[in-house]
Amino acid sequence: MKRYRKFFPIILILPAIIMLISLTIFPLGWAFFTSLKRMSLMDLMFGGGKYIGFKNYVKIFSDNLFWNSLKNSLIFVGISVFGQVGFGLLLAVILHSGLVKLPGLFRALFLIPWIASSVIVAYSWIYIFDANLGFLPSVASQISFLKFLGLGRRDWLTNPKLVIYVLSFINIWKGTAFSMLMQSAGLQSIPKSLYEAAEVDGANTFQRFISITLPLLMPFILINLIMTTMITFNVYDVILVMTGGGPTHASEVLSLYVYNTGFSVGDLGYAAALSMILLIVNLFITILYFMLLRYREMRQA
Amino acid sequence: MRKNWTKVVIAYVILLGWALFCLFPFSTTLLIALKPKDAFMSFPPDYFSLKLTLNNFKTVLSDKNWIGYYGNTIIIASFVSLIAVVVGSLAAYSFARYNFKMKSFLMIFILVLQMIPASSIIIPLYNMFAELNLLDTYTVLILVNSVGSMPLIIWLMKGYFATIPRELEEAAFIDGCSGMKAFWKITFPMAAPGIAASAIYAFVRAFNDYIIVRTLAGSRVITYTVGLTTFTNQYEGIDMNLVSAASFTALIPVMVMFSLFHKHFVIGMTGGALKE
Repeated sequence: MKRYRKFFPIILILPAIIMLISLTIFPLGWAFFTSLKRMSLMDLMFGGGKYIGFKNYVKIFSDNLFWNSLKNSLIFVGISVFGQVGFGLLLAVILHSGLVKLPGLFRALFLIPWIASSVIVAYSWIYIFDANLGFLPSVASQISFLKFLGLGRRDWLTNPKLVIYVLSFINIWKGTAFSMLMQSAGLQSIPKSLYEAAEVDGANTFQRFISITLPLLMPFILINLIMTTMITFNVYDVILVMTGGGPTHASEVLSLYVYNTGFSVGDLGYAAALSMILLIVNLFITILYFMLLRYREMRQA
Repeated sequence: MRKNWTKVVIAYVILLGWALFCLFPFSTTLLIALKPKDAFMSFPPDYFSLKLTLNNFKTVLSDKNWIGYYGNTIIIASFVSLIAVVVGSLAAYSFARYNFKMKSFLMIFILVLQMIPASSIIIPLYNMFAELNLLDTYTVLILVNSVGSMPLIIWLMKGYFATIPRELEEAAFIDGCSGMKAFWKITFPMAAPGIAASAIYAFVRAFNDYIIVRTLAGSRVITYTVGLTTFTNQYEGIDMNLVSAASFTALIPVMVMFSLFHKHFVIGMTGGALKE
């Protein structure tokens, strides 16, 4: 009985740990071994590929499509994170200010893009931007004011120079709610008495925002920035449905390039090597995140 | 506080603007779903006239394939929710109540797992399940989706269990309950809000999943997200009226859950860090 007691906590954890290891850590190890092979989807059916050492990794450096996808990822992540955290902060501050009635209703409305499935989101936006049947080209071509604003164009999703920005815009639309929630939590942690004191001292809204809200919110903003960067770096489902990475790889972000290499091109070995690179980028961001958390704990202590 | 009307007006303009922006694509989808087919046969398509019809919804809701995909999704998401919550809560309970070797290491380990993107393991998962002959089964979708939401649930539930006083359980022990029984009778009901949040989180995540189904299943076992894409192939080109109507029927359950459990939803989707 005593022995049972001793192992009880471990027994409770065991199912979770077994599932997590067998479906996360084990596949990662597997991916590493696959990355050392020349292996196609066909090889998978006929028992494994051939070991070629680190050739897949060497290939990455001279692979133009890899650098192209990295560039696309930087644009996509940069614009999305900047937009999401910025708008998230703006909306959270307004909702928190007490200037409007029914903040709960607004917040619920703002969360809808975030909780809707990516596929539905993708189709909704396809039907807005589609060159032939889309809402925007069809409507804008009939209203001269919209035409004047430059919204009458039809190549939103087919112009290689434009498409990644359109997708970033959609990602801001979808992800801002998450930042808004994080910033709201941050704002709630700031004691009201600080603002009252500042008001007595005659500080105006802008001064109060700069000298009280912003510094106290900074840890939340930083964590928000890092989390959003990580999430954005890894999402590709909306892009996959909307453009598949096209036209001619113009909207192929790194995570989508990994996916396409594996399942469209069918080069599993090379895709595994690419996913290792993706993993390294993620680990780097994770380490940054933990350093920030520790820094925050140390400052609080 | 005295109110400055200019500020109030600016605040409303921004919030209303953003609300319209949020709803804009969905309202377009609804409009397309309510339009007769011939509205999109001509060029430019007719968005303005008020000829509306419910036929698209009728077609979608009587489509046996679509109902099948929908049913699959609900079955899978329910199992995912159950497994993730039970397995996750057991682990979380242990973390909250007991001290043992490697505890803090395991906690951090789980947090790091949360950061590993599905995209970097979807390829080996495909390899693995191909060799195990499990591709295109309910099992694979339920397992992979459960593991996906488990790290966050463990952290969330650990926070909840930590707030429940230990004395209550000890009293149950003295009355002759075993550890397991004390957990099910005392702790589990008290952690109900956390469990609700976790269950909703796991359900919605699995309900909305596209990549996992598309990659690891999608020919025999099809959920609605992949079903929407196959919808398009049944007709010549994309049938945007039907896809839109189908999208709407799939949006509704998430919206209903969202409006019923708004608070749990937010806690679940963002993790314990953002308890409001």
